[in-house]
Amino acid sequence: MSSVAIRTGTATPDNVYGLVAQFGSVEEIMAASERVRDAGYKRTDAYTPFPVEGLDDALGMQPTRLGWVVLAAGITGGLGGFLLQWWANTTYFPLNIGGKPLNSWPNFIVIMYELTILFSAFTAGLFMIFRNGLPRPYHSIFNTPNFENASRDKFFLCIESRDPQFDIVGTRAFLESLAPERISEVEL
Amino acid sequence: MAVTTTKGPLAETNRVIGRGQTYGTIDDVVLQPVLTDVMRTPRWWWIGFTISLAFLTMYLVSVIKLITTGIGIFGNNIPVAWGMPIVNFVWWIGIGHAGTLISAALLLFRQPWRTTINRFAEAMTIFAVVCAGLYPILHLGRPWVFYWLLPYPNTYGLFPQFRSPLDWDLFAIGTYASVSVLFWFIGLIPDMATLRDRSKTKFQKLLYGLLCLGWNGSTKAWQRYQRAYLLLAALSFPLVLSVHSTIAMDFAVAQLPGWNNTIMPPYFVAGAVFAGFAMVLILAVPLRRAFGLEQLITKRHLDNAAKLMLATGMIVVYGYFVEVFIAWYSGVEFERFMIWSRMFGDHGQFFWALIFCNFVAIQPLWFRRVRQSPLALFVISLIVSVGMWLERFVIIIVSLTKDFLLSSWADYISTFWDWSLFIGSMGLFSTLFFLFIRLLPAIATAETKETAYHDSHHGSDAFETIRADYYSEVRP
Amino acid sequence: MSESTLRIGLVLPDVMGTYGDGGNALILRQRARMRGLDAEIVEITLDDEVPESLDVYTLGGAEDNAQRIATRHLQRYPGLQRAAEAGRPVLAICAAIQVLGHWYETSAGERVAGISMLDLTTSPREARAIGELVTTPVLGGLSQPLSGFENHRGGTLLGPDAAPLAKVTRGVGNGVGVNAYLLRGSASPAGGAADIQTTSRTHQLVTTQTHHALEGTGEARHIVRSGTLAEFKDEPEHPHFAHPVAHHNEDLFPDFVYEGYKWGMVIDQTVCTGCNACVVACQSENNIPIVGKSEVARGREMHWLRVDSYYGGSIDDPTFYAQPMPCQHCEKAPCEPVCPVGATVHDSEGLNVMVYNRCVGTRYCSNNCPFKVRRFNWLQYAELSTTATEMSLANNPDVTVRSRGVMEKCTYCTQRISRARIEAANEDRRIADGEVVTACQAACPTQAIVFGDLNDPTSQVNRVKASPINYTLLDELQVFPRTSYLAKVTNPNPTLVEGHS
Repeated sequence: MSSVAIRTGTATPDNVYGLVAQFGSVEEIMAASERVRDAGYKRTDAYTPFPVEGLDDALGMQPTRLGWVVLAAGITGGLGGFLLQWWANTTYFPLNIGGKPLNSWPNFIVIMYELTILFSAFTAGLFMIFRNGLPRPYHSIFNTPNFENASRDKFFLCIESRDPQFDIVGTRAFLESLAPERISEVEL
Repeated sequence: MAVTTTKGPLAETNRVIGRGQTYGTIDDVVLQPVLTDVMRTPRWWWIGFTISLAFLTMYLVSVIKLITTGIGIFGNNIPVAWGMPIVNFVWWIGIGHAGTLISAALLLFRQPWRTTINRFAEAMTIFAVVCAGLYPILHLGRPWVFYWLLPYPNTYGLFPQFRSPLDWDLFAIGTYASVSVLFWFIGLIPDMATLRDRSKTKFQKLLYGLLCLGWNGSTKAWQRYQRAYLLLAALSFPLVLSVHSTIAMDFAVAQLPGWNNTIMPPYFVAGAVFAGFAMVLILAVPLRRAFGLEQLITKRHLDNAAKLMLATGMIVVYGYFVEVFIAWYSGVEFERFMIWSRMFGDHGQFFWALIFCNFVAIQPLWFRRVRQSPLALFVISLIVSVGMWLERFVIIIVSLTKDFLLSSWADYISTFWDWSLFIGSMGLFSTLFFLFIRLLPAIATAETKETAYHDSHHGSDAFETIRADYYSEVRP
Repeated sequence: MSESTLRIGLVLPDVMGTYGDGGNALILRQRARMRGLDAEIVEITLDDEVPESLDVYTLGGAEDNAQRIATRHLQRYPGLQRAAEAGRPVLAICAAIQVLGHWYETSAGERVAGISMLDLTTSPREARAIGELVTTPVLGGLSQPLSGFENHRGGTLLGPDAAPLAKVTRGVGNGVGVNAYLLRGSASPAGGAADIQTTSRTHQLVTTQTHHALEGTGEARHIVRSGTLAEFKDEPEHPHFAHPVAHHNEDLFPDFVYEGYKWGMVIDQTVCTGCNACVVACQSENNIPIVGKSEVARGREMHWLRVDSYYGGSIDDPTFYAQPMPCQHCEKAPCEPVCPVGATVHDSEGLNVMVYNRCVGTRYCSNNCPFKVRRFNWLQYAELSTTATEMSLANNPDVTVRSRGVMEKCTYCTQRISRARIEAANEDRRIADGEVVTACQAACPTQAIVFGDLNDPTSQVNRVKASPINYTLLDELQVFPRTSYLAKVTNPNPTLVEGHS
């Protein structure tokens, strides 16, 4: 590959974030993603206005661990709820309430149930947000021209410069073979 | 079947999404009301908002009067210690359930038609829960110490009394409110990103940019997002069932005849979905006309909502029948008298009114023409809302007027403040809803685009049915 | 002077004309003339004797000294009194009323004699009454409301021979009560003949309780159990009238055991007369607030102990039953598990304890109480004051005064139990039977209420509860009340019984 830098915009080989290809439909980006994955690129991502089923597999992404974390959180909530009520009523401040036994576990079930859901739900939501790196005021991808339409009706595929196989000329040529609507060099 | 000409956005359609909708047109029609300049807000919105604010003021005045004078301003007494505030509380909480059902349950059951109605239905849920959730605080004799129900060690290390259904309510409603807000917010993130990208003014861009947390539509992010969303839906569905069951436990756990009934939890949940869908229709019918959303919130949606309303309504009627049967079958004098008195006693007129509203008035929904008529649905939904209020009234108040000892029997007469707080709370709801439709997209655009993609590319049997003539196109 | 001339006497316009009340005479004359009657005003000044032959007299208001002058003149020339006795109408406004009465008190506190033409006295009120006045006439023959303006410091008290013109509906009037002197005066103290007619008006009568029929659903609830002595003699071990339904007690969980003191109460319905002395005693002992007519109309009376009244038999020939209803202090109290903050708990001696300062006022406990003995402070009924006031001196210092928004109920006079316990502990002994007497028990003239320690085998309450006619209310609910009742045993004269239809 030639080492001649092809300049587009202000991206230089030192501060380029990656190469971004723009597509107009789901089929196109699906096909392109599979070829990118098969070509061995790892540090890739696609940007779509809505979730496209199967696109994460097409790019070779690992499944998320979110489910297991949520399960653990739910169990914590449920057990914690029971333990709190049980401990408060049997040990910390036992009271004769209507002649009921101190460990009235049937009465404790509802709160356990709600706490299970509360802990699970918040873990799911917050874990997703923070694991996605949000809130994030700046991301290089926003430097892509026409990226406003990534939330509307365009589909973008990015190969980051951090990828070991990345080469500003070779990767661009490869991307051109996928027949995108346009290719841009995106600065950091 | 026959092809139709779609004469622009006012044409009605039976499809889940109108033919010819693209991602771009979806964006445009949904986001346009949000992005317009303040000065160009349509006049109907200003009128509605002002009226809502007037009722909200009535609410605030009532609340101040209530807290300064005491709950004696209501019509409560001994034995009817719970009156209209609790009736209204249960009514509002019930209404909220349809939103979560649409968002969560319909997702789990893979119903694609949920995507255009889930956003405003979830908003309806949150606002209804706000209106409802204020009542258990306001109806307290000493509302300023409501926080003693929270699980923390108070003076002498005293925790709340966890066996009480009212404390369960705190956890249930607290969880419901916060999880609904979380779910709603997460659903909004991609739409906030779209709004950020479509913003015309700097202020809008800043506002929506902050709200979307920097979302960029990355597939890795979508992957986690989809998992989280699915989990939240899977959690919200049992949550919504448990919330109204917990409210029903407020009554089922008591030993009062008319309250002490194991049918309460499922009966209340069905009633909640019933009332909730009525409210969804009350909101959907004018909303789609006001914003020209008939191609997105189509007759198919109205039809399906009406079917759900009919189904849950019939479950509620079954509940009435069970109550009567069990009271008789139990052989317990208190129960038998209560059910007889409910139907033929002093307050019998409320019972028969509610049979009319909840049973008779929904029978027209068996007919497709009625189910696909926005006006008919609007009227029936109003009647159902009244009917569900009457049902709460009959269960809660009428049961209390005549309980075990004859000497305790007394009537309940509502006061001006009972009504002003109730009607004021409707002002709170409508104020929030008007703000919502002005500042946030009333339809989940990202999810709708996904539906549009499936619609145009897969033609799966979610969209076509065996009876193709049923879902034939309607000539406008 | 023709016979058809209406002669209106304007009495003392020179001294009793301060407020322009002479206008009444002018109006009267004008209205008479409008009706085609000849009318003239005859002014009676301080220079004139008061004639007794005029047709109508009007007098107006004046300040203090002028009233004295007028009184002396009217005493000297009693023409007005004689005319009134002859049946001539007299319109007296303001100060003129008090001059016509027995005496009136000036704002300086001096009592001035009037001419005693009207049976009334006048004293100054705390505050001046000024404002619009609207009244409903009680004097026969008048139907329209009368309106006007009032500006007076004096309040007039009517004697038995005087009657009011109208009842004030808007303004500063007495407002309370009805003038019974219309029916009985000093002339006929036992009441005279009266005609009863319905009017179109309504008046709200308020009571805490009406009588409840025990027929039908009432009988099936077995609230008041009653039998004759003959029936009791027939079944001395287990009379069916006291135990109509058998109940099984089975529980999944073990009961709490009450060692130490175990308080209980029995109420004997045979000797209870329904006199309500217990209710009054409880109210005084426990600082129970008075809530007033409008709140009682709403069903918010605060009686911790009430006497329920029932009748059996037909409405034409009823048998009356009185049943005092205090808190039953159920061992498995349904009110306790439903309180979200634990403001009502069970103590180690079996009392259902109400913790006022923990109560947030959800009122779920009241909903779950089958006896509805719990009372709620819907408004600020008790006087809010941190310093001593007149009313606060009437309060029992041993009992908390409750604020708005908290629930309250019978406590088995826990303050008396507490005092006895302290004394007994100081003397290193157990509380003896009879040492704790609840307020209701103390006041009962027939000693129908017995209270004591169920763990004391020799206590009176144990002896009485051992009776075969001892029963608890609503036993099918299995709340195990500590308060029980003895069924009412009657011994009717057989000839009276036969006379009953």
